Amino acid sequence: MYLIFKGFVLVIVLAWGIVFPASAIELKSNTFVSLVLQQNLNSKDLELGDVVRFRVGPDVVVGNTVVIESGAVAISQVTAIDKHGMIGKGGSITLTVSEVVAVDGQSIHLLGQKTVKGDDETTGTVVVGVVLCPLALLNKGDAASAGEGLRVRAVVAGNYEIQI
Amino acid sequence: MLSQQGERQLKSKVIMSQKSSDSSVRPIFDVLYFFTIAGALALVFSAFIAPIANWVAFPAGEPFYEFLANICHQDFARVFYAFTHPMALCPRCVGGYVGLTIGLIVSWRKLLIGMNDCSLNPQFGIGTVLAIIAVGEAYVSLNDFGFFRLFSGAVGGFGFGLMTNAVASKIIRMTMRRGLCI
Repeated sequence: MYLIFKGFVLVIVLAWGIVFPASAIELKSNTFVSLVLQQNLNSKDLELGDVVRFRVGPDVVVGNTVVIESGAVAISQVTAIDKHGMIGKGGSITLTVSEVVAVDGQSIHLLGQKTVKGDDETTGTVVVGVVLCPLALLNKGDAASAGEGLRVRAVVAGNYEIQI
Repeated sequence: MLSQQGERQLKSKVIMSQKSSDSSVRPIFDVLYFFTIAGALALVFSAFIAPIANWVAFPAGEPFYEFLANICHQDFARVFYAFTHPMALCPRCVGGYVGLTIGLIVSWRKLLIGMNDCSLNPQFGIGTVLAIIAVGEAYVSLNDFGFFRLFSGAVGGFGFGLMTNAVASKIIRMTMRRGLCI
């Protein structure tokens, strides 16, 4: 009797799956995802490989269905960093966006890069250093910094099936 | 007192002087206007090219975005999208540059009724009013709807085009010491 009951439940579950299949939406490669920086950055404090968090701006919609929600966390890494230095050399940070989480919890690989540069004062420093005073060559350029709200363009890398 | 015939002769002389002034000034204007209009249209064209390039092969459009980021906020929530990618200029900027182009062409080629060398002051006045209205609207941001911002930008750009033409025409005329209006 118990076996019959289990078999009956199994048939019901299978039938339900056939009649009402889980819908999937294809998130195509190269779909645009806008990202907004969630923290303040400064090249003085960052190291190569540090993780920087972004949030998704407006919802990413396919047809009329949201596939990546606004506010979803996106991860990026510092892939290049130049510290500011003497002779007016400005700093720079390069962030490479790597992934974001879709509505079904799937990790979506993203492509996107943003470089932030600090003011470079090399030319002015060299001119002043050569013409007026060599001590001016000790002048440092500005560190690269970016505030919360910095926008980055990214695209989906590859095709994904998003379960709705 | 000039006789009627004498007055007519004087008028024709002044008109001839205006025409000769026009013919000598026109090439300079043509070059200046060509570069201004070409520059404005190149910016609008780049704004369309950027999303298309990114759609075709990311990040091919990024240089356009980076360049145009110097003149526009490129807020993702307030721009038009082409091929699922945001345009590199906001609707107000696109409208502004298109309006400027139309304003310059219309005023330079005198395409509207009443536009002539003697109507530069009214043109400047109307242009100023339109530009002030558009800038005021942008400042208070009456409506965030994309097409409204496009229209507002176009009105401001058109006004600025009229103003620019009026000022440039006056400057050139003063330099040439000609151009009496009768």
